[in-house]
Amino acid sequence: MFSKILIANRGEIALRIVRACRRLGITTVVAYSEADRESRAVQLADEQICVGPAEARRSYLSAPQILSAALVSGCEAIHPGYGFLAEDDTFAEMTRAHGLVFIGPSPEVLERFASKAGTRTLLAKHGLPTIPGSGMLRDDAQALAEADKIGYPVLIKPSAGGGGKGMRMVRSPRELQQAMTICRSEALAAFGDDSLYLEQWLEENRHVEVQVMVDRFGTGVHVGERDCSVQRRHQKIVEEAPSPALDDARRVALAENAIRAVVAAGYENVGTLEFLLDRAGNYYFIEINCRIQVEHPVTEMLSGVDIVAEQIRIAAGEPLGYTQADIELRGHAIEFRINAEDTEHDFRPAAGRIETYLPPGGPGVRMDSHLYSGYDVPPYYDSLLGKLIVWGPDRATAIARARVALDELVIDGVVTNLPLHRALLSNDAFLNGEFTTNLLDRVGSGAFMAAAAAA
Amino acid sequence: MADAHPPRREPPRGLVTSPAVGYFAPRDGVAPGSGLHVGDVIGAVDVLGVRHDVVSPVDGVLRALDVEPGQAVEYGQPIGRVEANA
Repeated sequence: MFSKILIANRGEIALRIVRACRRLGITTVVAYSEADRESRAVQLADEQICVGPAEARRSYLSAPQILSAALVSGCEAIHPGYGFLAEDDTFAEMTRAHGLVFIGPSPEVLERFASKAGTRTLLAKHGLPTIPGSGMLRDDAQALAEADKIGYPVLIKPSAGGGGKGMRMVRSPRELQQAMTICRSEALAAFGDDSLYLEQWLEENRHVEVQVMVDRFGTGVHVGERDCSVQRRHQKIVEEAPSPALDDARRVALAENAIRAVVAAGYENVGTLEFLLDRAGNYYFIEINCRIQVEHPVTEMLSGVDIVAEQIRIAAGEPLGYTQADIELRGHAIEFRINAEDTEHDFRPAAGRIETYLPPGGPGVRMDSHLYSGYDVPPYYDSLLGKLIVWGPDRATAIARARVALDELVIDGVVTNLPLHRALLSNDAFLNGEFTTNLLDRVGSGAFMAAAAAA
Repeated sequence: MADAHPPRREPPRGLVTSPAVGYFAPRDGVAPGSGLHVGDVIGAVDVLGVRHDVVSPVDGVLRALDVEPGQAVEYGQPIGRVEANA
């Protein structure tokens, strides 16, 4: 096991990793930008090292500064969290070249799963149904030809990243041509890579993903699925498990097929396989995320597994030490992403001083957040303030606990998306477990909240 | 108080700070007492074998070097102080 780890991230995930390391008895060094000097992770870490100015390109995204920070502080491994350098196979390779361990899949495994189009082909070979799509697009002419073959509407997607950037649904060749330019520039700005591909668009779909953990010796387990169908402009807002859209037979089949395919394809460490589920209950593999995900606590609440600790153990070369039979999933969990967003002004991101922060508590309530009263939310990074996760023996209890917890949560000083979460908890589609990924965008988030307020 | 934000920390005039994370080495011949022009190289921070110059922020005289040769420094760490010419 490692004795000292550099944490190359910020916000709630840096804090989450510090906590996992403390539990494992690992000394922590948090790499931070000048804008995060007063952050909770920096305060809680054993050591802290400033790696650059607020601008992420010169701090959290600067491979040389991060690697140098790990070396001068005597770390053996780097935990990249999510976003920033988490899925950068070049960074993983550089980490190894400097005698350090990248906490995630090995560079070879990351490279094998780096291309989304290539991964679809690979996992299809190992038995996963995939959504019809194109390979990497060379130019607009090829995009038009591929879209004709797939059939409109199609979804334009960036090869390099996630989070809705560079992603557009188009219904005609004209829309496709217009959107390609926008998607290319968005993808280039967000991921430094403008390669795009196309995917068939399922009109009413749900987003369901399977959490897997695979050690270096080819032993793998799944930890069930998560349903992430509550989205706004392709960004997840609420995640829950188990999925209300799957019966037990389908649930087990999906998870077992997923783990069988990734183990056969040579995957390693923790990862998430994302699927679209159509109205008939058919599932299609869309992509794999080779990192810890924002919504991992949902699975932790059901399984009792500390997924970040497992990620570190696997990267250190330890065997899993248990099998699928040891994974027991109990009850129902729901996660609410609390963002600094102004729901009255098109979800514009906000920043500023947190005057008061009072997290909720009680049975089955978990709050993963880096906030504290007096903390200044910097304007330079994503708007995630924290995650409220609730657990109950069944979905109805989890929802009841969510209502109480959301009412109890106080975040004063910065505008948040709490009104959207309250609206969701009085929406029939959500309460009945029938939410689809395009529902909020089709209705319009503003109209959605107004309808909830009027009800 | 909403308006009680502390002012952004501006380094005092003449403070020399590290431009990178790595190991500091002073330039040969530069020592306390050396006369410097703005932009003169005082030393360098070695980042994975790449040198990042540490330069004087003002015209003046180097009053102190706070970092030993070979010492690890972080971004923004004070390295020395140059007293500006009057």
